[in-house]
Amino acid sequence: MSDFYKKVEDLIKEGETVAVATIVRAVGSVPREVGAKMLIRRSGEFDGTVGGGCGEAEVFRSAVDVIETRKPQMVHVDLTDEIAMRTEAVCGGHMDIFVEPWFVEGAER
Amino acid sequence: MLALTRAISAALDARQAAALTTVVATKGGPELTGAKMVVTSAGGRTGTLGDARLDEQVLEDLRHVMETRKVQTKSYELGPGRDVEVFFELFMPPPRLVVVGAGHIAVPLAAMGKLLDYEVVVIDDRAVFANRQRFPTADEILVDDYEHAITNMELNPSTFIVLVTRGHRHDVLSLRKVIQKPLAYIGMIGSRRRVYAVLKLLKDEGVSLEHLAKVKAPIGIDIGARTPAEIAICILAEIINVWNGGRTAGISDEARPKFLRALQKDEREPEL
Repeated sequence: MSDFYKKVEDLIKEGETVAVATIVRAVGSVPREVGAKMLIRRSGEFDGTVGGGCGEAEVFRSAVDVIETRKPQMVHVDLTDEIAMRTEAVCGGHMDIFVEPWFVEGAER
Repeated sequence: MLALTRAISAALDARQAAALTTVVATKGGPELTGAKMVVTSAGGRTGTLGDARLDEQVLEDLRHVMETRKVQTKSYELGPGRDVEVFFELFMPPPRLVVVGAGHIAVPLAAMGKLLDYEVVVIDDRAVFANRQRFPTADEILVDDYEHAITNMELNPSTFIVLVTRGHRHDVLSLRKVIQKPLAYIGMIGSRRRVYAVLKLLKDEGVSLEHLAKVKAPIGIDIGARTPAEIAICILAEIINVWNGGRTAGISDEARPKFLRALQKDEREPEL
């Protein structure tokens, strides 16, 4: 299996709920490809990247929610708008990032 | 969710490919977002996407997704106004090159296959050809009947099969065993006439044109190869092209439409 899921497995085995963010759709010029993944823990520690500055802050906010509620969310990151320009994260495309909880059923939240 | 990760590990340990499928969006009907299912190239399933018919459709699409090895999101209609989007994530076993026939071309083919980091298996029914002296770097050398050896091999969407046997009878026997399996690549050496004779035989046995069209034959890309080593490069170049989604046409791409037309008309020999 990929190292990524090995890591997920190791963490959830210990009872932790983690968030996994995946780029599931990308249009135009985006920093990473469809399938790029990021593991985010409640502590804020993370592994992997879904594109750095370009939208990753939003993914972090969503991940906190997802870990709390254990409900998945879709984060839409638009890298074409003016705000993106001001933050210099100008990539030109947009992407959908699916953020979902991974946990062992029955484990405490 | 440990059942899912374990199913993926088990599949890879058994040299199968696996896909983790996830509903990432639901429109209309019950909320299925977040539902997950692991499906393997051997047809195994763990978990459910929450709708029996959807599970079936996803399983049906899996083969194509594995052959193109493209991580992607696909849409499915479950009923009027009910749509879901399913994300496919693939887990592939390491690429494996199976060289069927241990003759002159097999030697550089197996050696170069190792340079490309493939697992290399060589099969021949003659021990004077299939041996360690001729194939010092191969991972496995099988001295066995072709048909028997191939039947017992785990074939998966990371497997490249190269048929370089000494006679078209052996090609037929081998091809018959593998042509309907999900494979990354299947190529067969031979002149256009020999290749057509093999395809015609299989067609007469009832193999579909769709399956026959997957065979890369005549094998390789046209680089004017002459020596065994050059031919090995021409074959491996085609394999790399297929595996990495390159855009170079193979020799078979030119021959295929003619073959298929002739097969459809049941001609004994194609017009070449």
